[in-house]
Amino acid sequence: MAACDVDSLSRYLDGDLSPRERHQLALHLRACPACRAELALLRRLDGTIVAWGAHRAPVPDETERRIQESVNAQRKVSRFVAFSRMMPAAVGSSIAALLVLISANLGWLYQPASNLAQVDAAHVQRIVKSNSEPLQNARRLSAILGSQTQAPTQPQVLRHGHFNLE
Amino acid sequence: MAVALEAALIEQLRRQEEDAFTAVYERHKAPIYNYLYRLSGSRELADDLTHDTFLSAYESLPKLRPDSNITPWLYRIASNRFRDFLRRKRVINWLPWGDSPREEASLATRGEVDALPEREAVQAALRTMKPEYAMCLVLRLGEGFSSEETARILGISPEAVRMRLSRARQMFKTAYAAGERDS
Repeated sequence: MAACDVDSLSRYLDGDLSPRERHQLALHLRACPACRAELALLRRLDGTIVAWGAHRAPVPDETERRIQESVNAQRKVSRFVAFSRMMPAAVGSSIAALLVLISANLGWLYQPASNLAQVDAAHVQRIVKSNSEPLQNARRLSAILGSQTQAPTQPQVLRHGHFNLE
Repeated sequence: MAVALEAALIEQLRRQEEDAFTAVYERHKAPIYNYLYRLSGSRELADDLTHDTFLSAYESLPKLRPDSNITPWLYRIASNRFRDFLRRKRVINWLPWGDSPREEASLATRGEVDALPEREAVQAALRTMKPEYAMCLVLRLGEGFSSEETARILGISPEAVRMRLSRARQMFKTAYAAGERDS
């Protein structure tokens, strides 16, 4: 027969005993008046707490008003934070689009290719000379391979005034 | 059907939609307020803790999981706010808290006066218990949660809940009997 065990009584009240444990407890209770009395007392006290818990007072109006105000204030903060998070991406995209638009329409800012007088002729000479060997090698290679590709015969001057050093 | 409705509500809550939060607040404001009053024994404290609970809940809405259960989730927040109060109280332990029986009587609504002595006795007995044991008893018996739900709310195992309930019943029995002798 199981010994007196208040934990078992508590678990029995909560429905947490296995069928075997319930059977053992039932056998014990038949032979133990102290545990029977203890179980009856615990059951009564449980009922007292349940009845106490069933009583529900209304929430005071002032408490409700405070809660509403705080939640509304937090709602505005949440909206601002969400908008701020979107802003960098939106601003970045807008700036990038603006730059593309500007660069596509600012060709008139660059020097016309024919205005070579403003180009440093000596500088051009140095560049052509430094690139002449690769140009000659390219012509020899194309002759050997019988390639249709023609090596450039002179440096290409791009519209923007920069030299193609290829 | 009920599961689908709950899932839809969770999704609306995660987006902090006003109507969804209002519906949850209206359904739970009285239970949460009364739970906190039962734990604290003070209406003033229950006011503050209820306010803090729903504000914390609103701030935490985006973190709700799709499989969350709203009611235990709210009770968990309320329990944590109560624990925070207890931690602060340990720092400033000279602050009195808890309504006196006279204050409780003056706040009672008509028709409830007869039940006052028993409610006062239960409240007084719970106040003598360690908070973690009182919370177990209030959640399991006062609020009607199962041992598993109580475990989720308190963040402990179901076995720990069962052990605490057993100890809590013995503590309550002793304190309640002492209160009956003194009255």
